[in-house]
Amino acid sequence: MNIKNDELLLIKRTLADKENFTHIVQKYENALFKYVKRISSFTDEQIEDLLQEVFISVYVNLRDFDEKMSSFSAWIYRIARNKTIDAYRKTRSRPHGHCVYFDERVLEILSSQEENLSEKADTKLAKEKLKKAIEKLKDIEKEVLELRFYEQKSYLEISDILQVPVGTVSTLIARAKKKLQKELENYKF
Amino acid sequence: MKNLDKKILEKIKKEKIKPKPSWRFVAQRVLIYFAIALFFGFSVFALSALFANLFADEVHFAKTLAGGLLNYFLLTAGLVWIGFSVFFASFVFILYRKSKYGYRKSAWAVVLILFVLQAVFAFGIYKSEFSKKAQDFVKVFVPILSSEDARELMWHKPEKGLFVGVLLTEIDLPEDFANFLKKESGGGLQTQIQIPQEISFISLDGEIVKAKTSKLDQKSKVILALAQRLVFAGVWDEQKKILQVCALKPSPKTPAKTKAKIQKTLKALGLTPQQKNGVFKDLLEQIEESGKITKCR
Repeated sequence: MNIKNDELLLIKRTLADKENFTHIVQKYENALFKYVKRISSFTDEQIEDLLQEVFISVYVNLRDFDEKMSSFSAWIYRIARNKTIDAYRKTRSRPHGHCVYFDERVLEILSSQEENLSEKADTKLAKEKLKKAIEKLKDIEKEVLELRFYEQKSYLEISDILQVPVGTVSTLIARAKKKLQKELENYKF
Repeated sequence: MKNLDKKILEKIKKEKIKPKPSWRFVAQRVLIYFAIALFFGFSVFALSALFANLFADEVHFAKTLAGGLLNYFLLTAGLVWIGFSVFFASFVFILYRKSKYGYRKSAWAVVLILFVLQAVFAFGIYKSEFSKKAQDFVKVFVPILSSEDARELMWHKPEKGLFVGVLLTEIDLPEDFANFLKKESGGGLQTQIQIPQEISFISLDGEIVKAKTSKLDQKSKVILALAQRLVFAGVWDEQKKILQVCALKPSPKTPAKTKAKIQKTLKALGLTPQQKNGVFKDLLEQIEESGKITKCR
């Protein structure tokens, strides 16, 4: 039985008995909390409230999920992302869209996964430079990097989360990497 | 986060929240695809009407006027139909992108496929002449679309030797005139009519114009019938007040409005127009006999 079948089984069980929904919440709450924290500037309490809305929405729309989706996880991430953007629009805390924050951990992963980047970002000083270079990226570029390298999502999953074509995902990743490399090349080690 | 799962479950139980039934999602999708089909149909019809305008018999005169490909296109295409076509196609595009997996396809690919499908269907409809019939039907309800006069008036440029008018000179007509017109407008008839050397017509702005057809290719296939609306192209001699006609082309039809205009002109001249087979009979003769040609160029 693959992961997808596990997910479908879990959905079926939840539809049969709502008590089983706690398994879904437990499975995704921590990951979603971190994800929302990274793509927003909300406080922990705000994120908790937001996640309540996210999971209620997941429960209400459970029958909308089908096998054509890349994964159940991508579907939940998409709902979380859309709810976060909606929350931003309501609070108007930011003038445009939302933001993506890269912490030290993301930088570690990003530099360790990409050989070209890790060579350049070997030192602490270089990581600082990498961080500054990332800050120069567009939000959507930061978000694809985050989903790809931190959340370990496949291109198809990222496509389903961001609701853009797979080709666009690969273009965005390639463009973001190119920008980072260019920024790091400009840096004198 | 403490006990988020329990909080959520409690809320679900307390507010009696239930998952939406499957039929609602199915209905939502059916509605979107129905709207896509509907708007696609509208966009195809608008494009077919655009084709009907572009390939209409009389439009080649616009080339002389336009001076450029873009101008020619804008002059002949009918901006209303371009607008409708783009408007409805945009709806199709947006609705498709909003459909469940519409985002997976590249936007450019969707636009390209949409455009190709639109063009194929529209051309089919245009060829079946449905667009023309539908266009006539729509014109009844949308006055802005029945602007044949306005469009032809744009072509009416005496200073460039281009006139739109109604033929006054009587010529020998085939016996079966009604069928002749019908067949000729379909483009299939080879019959030629002897064109007189001198002709007269009432231009759309109500002036009577005399024209010489010596430079006209006598073998060209034109419908030259009394009181039929025509486009006259040639060299306008300001001193002699004569148009040296080098090309003639019939308008798609003589609409009731034009006939009314002729009647108005004749009435102003104190004449009673006589009609036979739906066209005016001996019009010039009547005018000349009355000696009331007052506005001849």
